[in-house]
Formats: sequence, structure tokens, C-alpha cells
Amino acid sequence: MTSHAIVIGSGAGASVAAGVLAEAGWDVTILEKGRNRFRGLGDPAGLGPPLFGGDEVGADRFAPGNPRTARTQAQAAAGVARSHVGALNNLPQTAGGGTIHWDAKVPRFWDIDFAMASEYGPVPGADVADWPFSYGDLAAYYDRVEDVIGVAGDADAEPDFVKAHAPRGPYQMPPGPPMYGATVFVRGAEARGYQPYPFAMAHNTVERDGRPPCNNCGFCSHFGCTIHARAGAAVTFLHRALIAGATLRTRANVTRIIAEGGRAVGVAFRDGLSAEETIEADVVVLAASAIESARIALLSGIGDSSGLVGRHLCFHTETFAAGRVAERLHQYRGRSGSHCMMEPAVPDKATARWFGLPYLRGGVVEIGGAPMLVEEAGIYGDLPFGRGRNHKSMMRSSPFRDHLCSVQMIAEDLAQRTNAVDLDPGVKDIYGLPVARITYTPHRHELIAGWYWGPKLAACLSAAGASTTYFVPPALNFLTGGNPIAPDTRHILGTLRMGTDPAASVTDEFGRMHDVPNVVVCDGSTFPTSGAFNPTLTIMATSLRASTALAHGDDTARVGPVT
Amino acid sequence: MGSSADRFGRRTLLRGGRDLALLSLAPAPLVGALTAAAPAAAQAEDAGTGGYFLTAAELETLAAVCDRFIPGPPEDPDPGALDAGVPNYIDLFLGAFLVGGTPRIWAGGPFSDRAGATHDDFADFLELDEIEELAWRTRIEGSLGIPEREWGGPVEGLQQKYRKGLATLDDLARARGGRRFHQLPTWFQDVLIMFPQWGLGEFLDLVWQHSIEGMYGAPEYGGNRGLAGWAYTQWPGDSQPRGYTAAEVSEP
Ligand SMILES: Cc1cc2nc3c(=O)[nH]c(=O)nc-3n(C[C@H](O)[C@H](O)[C@H](O)COP(=O)(O)OP(=O)(O)OC[C@H]3O[C@@H](n4cnc5c(N)ncnc54)[C@H](O)[C@@H]3O)c2cc1C
Ligand code: SF4
Repeated sequence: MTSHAIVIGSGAGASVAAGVLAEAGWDVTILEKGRNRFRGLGDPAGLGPPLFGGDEVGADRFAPGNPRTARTQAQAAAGVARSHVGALNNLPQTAGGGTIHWDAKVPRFWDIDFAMASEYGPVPGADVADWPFSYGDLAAYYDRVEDVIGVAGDADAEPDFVKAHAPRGPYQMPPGPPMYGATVFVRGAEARGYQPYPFAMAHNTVERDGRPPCNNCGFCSHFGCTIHARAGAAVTFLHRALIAGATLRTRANVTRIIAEGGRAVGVAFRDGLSAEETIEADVVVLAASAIESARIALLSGIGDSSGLVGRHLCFHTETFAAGRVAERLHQYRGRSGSHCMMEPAVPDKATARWFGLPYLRGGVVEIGGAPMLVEEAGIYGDLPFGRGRNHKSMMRSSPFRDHLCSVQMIAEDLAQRTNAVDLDPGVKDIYGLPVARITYTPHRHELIAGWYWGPKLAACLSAAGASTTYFVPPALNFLTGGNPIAPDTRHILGTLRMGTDPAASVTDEFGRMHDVPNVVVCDGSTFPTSGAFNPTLTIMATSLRASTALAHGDDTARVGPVT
Repeated sequence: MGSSADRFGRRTLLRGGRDLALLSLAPAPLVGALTAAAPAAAQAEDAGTGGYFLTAAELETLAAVCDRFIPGPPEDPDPGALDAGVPNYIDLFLGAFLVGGTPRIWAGGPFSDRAGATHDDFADFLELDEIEELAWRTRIEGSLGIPEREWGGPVEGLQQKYRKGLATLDDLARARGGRRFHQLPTWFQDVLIMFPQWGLGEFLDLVWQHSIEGMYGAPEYGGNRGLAGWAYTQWPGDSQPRGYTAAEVSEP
């Protein structure tokens, strides 16, 4: 008898699982909360033009009705229910999930990311844990995901320390054109002895998989790619899953997983505003992204015998460095960045000792990119007396966009048991269900790493000839980013931690909930640690490993993908 | 500067970005004949100079605020909020469900007709589904005691916030300056809106956010008329399907 899987979500992790199961002959139903903004999704004849464009006003209009709430750890200890209600690190809720807006930077995690606890020791005040598998266990899945989505990069240009930590073969395509603004920083970084190189990005630089090469439109991060040059979950794995026979139900908001005696038997959801309905399932794949997957587990009352559901929530922290350059950088041309620099991702033991930490670690530095125009206008407007004629002058001279050379370091966020998602006792969503409440405070490790690397990045800008260079350390940019509690990286990880010990983790190495093994978690929520890199390639590879195990059995999964 | 009545009279011409695009291709006398014959346009003229949601008086106050936030000539050499139709953008947003047709919440895709495409897809606004309509009506109109809108308790809509905020601003203007806000000298207006101590900060932040969207966002939403906000900032706007060449990306 054919097995029936319900896949919750249609984003990065979900689409991979749906694709694997559908292609393995399973009966797959995908329940996606958002709408489908594609034409021709799942049509073997190919994708049509999508229903989104290079439109800054629309891209920022997240549908109301799904607020999150938040508070700091100190506020939680003082009994404050919440200090923020509204958006918090929101990912798009639509067919394709977060990868509709991502800019497809797809570095691999390093070997040490899977073994930080054993290789670098515990960190006081944090709950760092090893992953239940190694880089070597995941490598074949990385290869396979990269092959399906298509990655442009230059393996030879990677510095030796990157090659050693994340050994790999050649990329599918050569990198796209370097952005002029990025090359300014690269020049300064090289002068300071660093080795920046072309960022591995999942956008076509040649026609591939029926999708055209990128034409450098500039509306990349925060926008859907209107010509399908950039890969995301939708145009790759989800499209394939639908072609292989999976059913996609959009506007299907999962309210709970129904479990009986340690097994999931089905899923309850609401189609638009109509009454709750249920579908039976042999297996439930949970992949609604880390915050929402934890919320669904809590709403369902499953998986929490360890008391760890929702805990170990990680984002990444961001440190900005910027400087003014004389010429206009025209970063509205090209993708949202073209280079990266990895030296800050190397754990630094010597510096860490001053602060009683075993290591200090920043993360990937993203090079290139600039604010869009409405965004720029908002930046000046928040300055004292930044409105009125001053605003016009600044928009004309563009100190914070066209003349700003800036980079951001996306840094490891150490897992803490006390950083958590729970159900807000007072605030409800449009369906009348309690929203996710985030309790979060970064560990001092992250703050120190930002203060340590910020000036070094600013020095690269000075070396590149930029004037008035400065940096914005983490925490400060939570405040300027519009939400007061959490960083705005759109990287959301942890909450349903995987591990071998059911008392210390929620899921096993294949994403199966220890308490309910036919609930298989396939998104970023299983990550035991956040790593120091953009996470989505690793989410997809981890999902591929888990769903391969599901479709074909553990033993083959250890060896590599079957399809 | 023309009176605000003139400025808002022009908005009827802007109803439906696609129609406007078509009209702009037609010879001037034809444009006159077409717009005069259009019943919707005639109706709006009859209704006076009010907008879709805001009254004529509210629009006067709002226009004065937008003008101070993003001034145009002669104070600043480049076009400002009024030239770009920013109050029109805000009124269209507040009146999204009053305009008739698809509310201008999300522009369509993939391409406008500004970078090589022949049809302006942006002007084909997306139909809202029932969840989106409920959510946006609640945000814009408020919960108004309607049970299904009160999932998170009573909501004060953007419409009420504007109605209250603009009235409060006029009250403040009368109390301090003896006249309505738009009748005060510009320096006096600045004192009332640039300083936080009058307690209007939250409302003015809202107007500010909407003003920059209207000034610098895609013109299909009813602002950025004549691409006023993009020209002086050297912002090319959406670039598909043309995009940029590798040389344009990499060279200074
Ligand atoms: C602007 C931007 C840029 C980014 N750039 C990068 C980048 O360059 N590199 C990188 O690695 N990452 C990037 N990311 C992050 C990336 O998008 C996420 O890491 C990734 O999408 C997370 O995958 P996921 O499977 O965990 O969840 P998602 O992709 O978010 O998928 C979750 C899906 O579940 C659905 N869902 C939620 N709740 C329910 C429910 N109750 N019922 C049914 N469905 C539900 C959602 O609608 C969504 O479609 C970026 C994100 C943004 C927003
Ligand atoms: S820059 Fe390239 S990959 Fe990015 S959205 Fe534009 S065409 Fe797509």
C-alpha cells in the first residue's frame, strides 16, 4: 500500500522532503499556509511568469494577522509577558517559503560546525551541542542539493582554510559578475591580508534546468526572482514534487498534528476561513520553519517529554561595517552581494580567554549590496531632524546607499536553553490560535565577537579608501532594525533540537521526534547549533538526508541520496 | 504652488495605473473627452475635492504635513511630496476598499512597462483572498466591533488613526497658532511636527512611513507621479526584463 505523507509547509526543508517522497512513489499532500504566487508551478510544460515583481512597497507588506511577540530573558525573569507585538524576523509565508525572498547565498557549514562542543568545549552560559552526524555524513547530500538547485561559485578561489573545513568538488556554474561595490571592499580586505572570494550562490549564470541566467536586475534579496534565474525551493524541489504527483494545498493553515499513543495519525488544518478539517496520514513531515514548527508542536502537545520543545532558538547576529566612498557604487545593479570573507568564522581561542570563553567566533562576511530606495528614505527619517529639507538633501547625496560601501558579518549565535519559543498566553492570530512568543537575549560571546570583528571590517574599508568608516555591533542593530528583541537575519534555527539522547533533544538524527517517530522534522528547527554561515543549504541537505531515510531506510541514508 | 483642490482634482486621472498609462499615449483632446465621459471621474468631481477616504479638509492638513516632510520647489530644487502625489497615495491606501476594483495592496507581476516590457503587470493588482481581505480590512478599517476582526482584541484601523491624528494636529495648530495646520507658516508647521513634545509622534511616524512609500515606491500605488521620487535620486527603479549587463555591474 502506498504511504501517505502530509508535508507541513512548502519552504526550503519541506520542498526537499516532498520532492524525495513524491519521486519515491509516496502519496504526498503539502499543506501550505500562504498563497502560490507562481504560474505553472508543477506544470511539466514549465513555469510561467510569477505574480510578484521588483516592487519595494508590496514586498514589505506582509499580510497582517500573524503577529509574534517577544521579550528578553531579563523581562521573562521579571514576569513581563511581552514587550513587543508584531513582526519578528519574518520569513515569507507563501509557496516556496523563505526562499522566495532569499538571495540564495549557499555556503556549506564547516566540519567543526557539527562538533563545536567536542572540539572546542562547553561555553559557560550556553548549551552548545554536537550534531548527531558529521560533515562527512552530510557531504553527499550537499552535493545532491547543489546539483538540483544549481550553484555558481569558484571552488579554486576558496582559501585553503575553507577547503580544509568544507572540502568539495567544482560548482555547477562559474560565479556571476563581481559587483563594483563589492570589489571596493575586496581590495581593502586583501590589503589587510584577508582572502575574500566569490560567494557561492544558487542563481544561474548560464541557462540551466530550463531557467535563464541571472540578468543582474538588482531586486534580489527581499524580492522574488521574476525570471526564475535564482533557485529557491519552489522552482526546484517543489516544482519537481508536484510534477511527480504531490498535491499542493495553499492557504491551508495547519492547526495541529493529531497523535495517538506515540504515533501521528493525521493533521488538522483550516482552508482559508472555513472550519477545521482533518486528513489522515502515515507520516507527517513538519517543516513550517523553526518558530512555526515549534508552535505547531506546542499546539499539538507532542514531542515534549524532554521539556525542550521550542528551546535553543538561534538566529544569527549581525555586525555591520560601512564607509563612505567618493564614487557612486550603483549597487542596485547585480545580486545582493557577490563576495564573501570567511576568516571571522575561524574560532579564536587566544582572544576568547580574556573573556572566560573557550573560543570567540564571528561568521561569514557578506560583501556587496545596499539598501533599496524606500529603505534608504527610512534610514534618514529616523535620524534626528532627518525629515524635511534635510531628507531631500540626503536622498540626493545618498551617503547611506549609493556612496556607502558596507558589509555585514552574520555570526554564530550560541544555543541557549533559555532562548525559546512558547505559546503567548494573551495574543492570538487571525485563526484565534495563540501566537509564538520569543524569549531571546544574545550570549555575551556574540556581542564580544561583534565588537572584536567590527573594527577589523571597518579597517578593511579604510584600506579600500573609504572615509568615515564605522561599524554597528550586534544588539544595537536589533534596535535600529525595527524590532527591539531579536536580530533581523531571517535565519531561524533550533527549537526542535536533534540528538541521540531523548532526554537532551527532541528529534533524532533523521528528524524523527523521539516521542512520535512518524513526525519527521525537516526544517531549520532541528539544528543543534546555528553554525557561522547562511543556513539554508544545510537545511535542505539535512532534510534530504532525513527524507531519504524515511523513503528508503536508515542504512542507505548513511551512504547518500538514493534518487 | 496650486491650491490643494487642484492637486486632488487631478487624482481622478490617476485612477487605475494602467488606464493612465494608456491615456498618456492618447492625444490631449482625446484624453479630455475620455475623462469627462468617465462616470467614475465625474462622480468623484461631484463629491467635491475629498479623496476616497479622507475629506477635503483632511487632505489639506495631510498635504501640508507631507509637504513639510518632503518639500519641493522653491524650498528644495527637486519635486516634493505634493508633486509626486503622496497624499493621493495615502488616501488610496486608506480607501483601498472604497476605490472599487482590486484594492491596491499588492502590485501584480512580474514586470512594469518601464524596463522593456510592453504591458504594466504591476498595475494588475493581486486579488485578495478571504484571509488577506479580512486581515487588510482589519488593519485599514479597524475591527469596528466585528467579531471575526477581533481575534487579537479591538483594533484601531489606519483610517481612525488618520482621522484622529489629523484632527489633533489641527487642534494643536489652532491652540498654538490660531489657525488650521495648513494655514500656518511653514516654520510654524515644522515646530509642530518635527518636535516630539506634542505627543503626535506615533501618528507622524505613520504618516512619514507612508510618505516615503508614496514618494519612492512604484507609481502604480498612486504616488511617485512622473517618477518624481526616482529621478532626482538617480534611482532607476525596477529593471526587469532588461536587467543590467555584466559590465554595468562590475565597472565603476
Ligand atoms: C530576505 C531574505 C534573504 C535570505 N537570504 C538567505 C541567503 O542568502 N542564504 C540562506 O541560506 N538563507 C537566506 N534566507 C533565509 C532562508 O529563507 C531560510 O533559512 C529558509 O527559507 C528556512 O527554511 P525552512 O524550511 O526552515 O522554512 P521556510 O522556508 O520559511 O518554510 C516554511 C513554510 O511553512 C509555512 N507555514 C508556516 N506555518 C504554517 C502552518 N501553520 N501551516 C502550513 N504551513 C505553514 C510557511 O508559509 C512557509 O512556506 C533569507 C531570508 C530572507 C527573508
Ligand atoms: S539579480 Fe538575478 S537572481 Fe537576483 S532577482 Fe535579479 S535576475 Fe534574479
